[in-house]
Amino acid sequence: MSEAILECKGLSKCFGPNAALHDLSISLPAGKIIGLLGPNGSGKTTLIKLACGLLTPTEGEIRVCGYKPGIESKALVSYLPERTYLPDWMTVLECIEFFQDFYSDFDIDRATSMLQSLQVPANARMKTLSKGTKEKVQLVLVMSRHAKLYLLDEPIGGVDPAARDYILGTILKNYCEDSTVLISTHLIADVEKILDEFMFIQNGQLVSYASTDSLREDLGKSIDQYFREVFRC
Amino acid sequence: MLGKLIKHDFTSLSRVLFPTQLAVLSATILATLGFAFNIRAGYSNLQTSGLFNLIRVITGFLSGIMVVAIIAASILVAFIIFQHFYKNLMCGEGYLTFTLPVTTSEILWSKLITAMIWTIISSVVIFICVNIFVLFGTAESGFLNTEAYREIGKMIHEVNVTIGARVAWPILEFALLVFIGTASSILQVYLALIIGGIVSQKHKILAAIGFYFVIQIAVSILSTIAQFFMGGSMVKTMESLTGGALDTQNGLEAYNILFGAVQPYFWFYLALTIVITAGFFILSHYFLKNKLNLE
Repeated sequence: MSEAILECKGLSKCFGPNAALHDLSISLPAGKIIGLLGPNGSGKTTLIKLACGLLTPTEGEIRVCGYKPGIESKALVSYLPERTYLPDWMTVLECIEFFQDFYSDFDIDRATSMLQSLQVPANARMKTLSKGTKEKVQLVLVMSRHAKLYLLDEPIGGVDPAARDYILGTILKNYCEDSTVLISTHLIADVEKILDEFMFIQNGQLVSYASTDSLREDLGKSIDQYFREVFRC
Repeated sequence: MLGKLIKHDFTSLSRVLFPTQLAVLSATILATLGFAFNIRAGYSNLQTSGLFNLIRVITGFLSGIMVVAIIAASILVAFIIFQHFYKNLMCGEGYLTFTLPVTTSEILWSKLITAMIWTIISSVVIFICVNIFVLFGTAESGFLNTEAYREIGKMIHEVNVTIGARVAWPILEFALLVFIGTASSILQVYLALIIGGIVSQKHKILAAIGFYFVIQIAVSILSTIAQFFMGGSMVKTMESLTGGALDTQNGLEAYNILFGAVQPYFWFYLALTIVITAGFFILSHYFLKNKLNLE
């Protein structure tokens, strides 16, 4: 059995009296594009931040390729937060150089060509870019690494549908067989076509974890339809 | 990786701090020109007209600008260093900083080293400015005023004759204490910002200010206890010396008595400062590594 890329055991995270994640155990394999889906406040972002080491678990543990969050795991994880996190005074080019400086798996040629395709001006400062363009820059940087695990928190929320298609195409094209992509999003219909597997979480607990194909074959449903059934209000 | 972090932090800080130093230098040049003019005008036999007096008032006022600029720039340097730390670690940029493949201690070291480098740079700039002012601005006749330097030269010569090269020791000791003390002050603010950022969800800065004073009180209590165990006080030791052993005409002898009496206190304060500084670092590291919760 191959080693799990992301593994949680009895993982809990509380903010004050509220549990954002409660006793979550799951093991994600290599080589898959996995959707992390759930209603607002279900714990998607919390799970991703725990995997990055931006939050510390209240109980249980989380491991990336066998490592607890730390310098080894951070070298393997490429993380796209749901907010802008690049210093606003830096130019796009300086951001690229920054990534190249710190990540040995960063592919500068890939980054430059992707930014060209998306028509992002390389010499513009981050603060002069629109919100959507900033998100494009961040996604390009994150996807230009040859990482083991890509954690994408709402990667397509702020960009137009045309860029969305390009970005999803890029994710499909760029990830290699031994790495895994975990995408958290509300836009299920848009990402559904590239997902191999999906996991539903609600109230910090795992509701369902299955492959997209088995859902289609067994129940004859799309993830979008299934999501609306499971989380009907 | 530490080198890369330092390089990046330094560039990021310099972008904002470099202009403040240029401003101090410009203010110095302005003040020096103004003061030089003022002095010459005071000694000249020119007819005093209303306009002439006005120019004298303005140029006299210019020298005050330098003092204001130096004070303002010093405050600004400290403010920018801490703001950079806070933004880079506890706000949005923290998402980038804490997902880099570097250790928490490397992040802290980089922030401390770059802050120290900039403190030294701004101190050197102030030193240069004061010298420019004294040298070019205060000459009553001629272009340069070298009187102050000649006096200092004489003093150094006298000290060298009576005491010799060993006078370097107290100077080095004092410099070491200032160096460690600066690191300690910087880390104290860092620690307060970290705890404030972790504990409070909404009023992080306010909480940080509160924790700064809490830490200050804790350090004061610790110092008092340590002093109690040390026994005696430097002031009392000094008092006991005057009129007694120190009442000698021999400069070297007096120096030796004084230096010897101060030594235990120096090493005590140095050790205490090092312990407190290390405590700040270890606590900051602990909170960032184990309690970090970026919202």
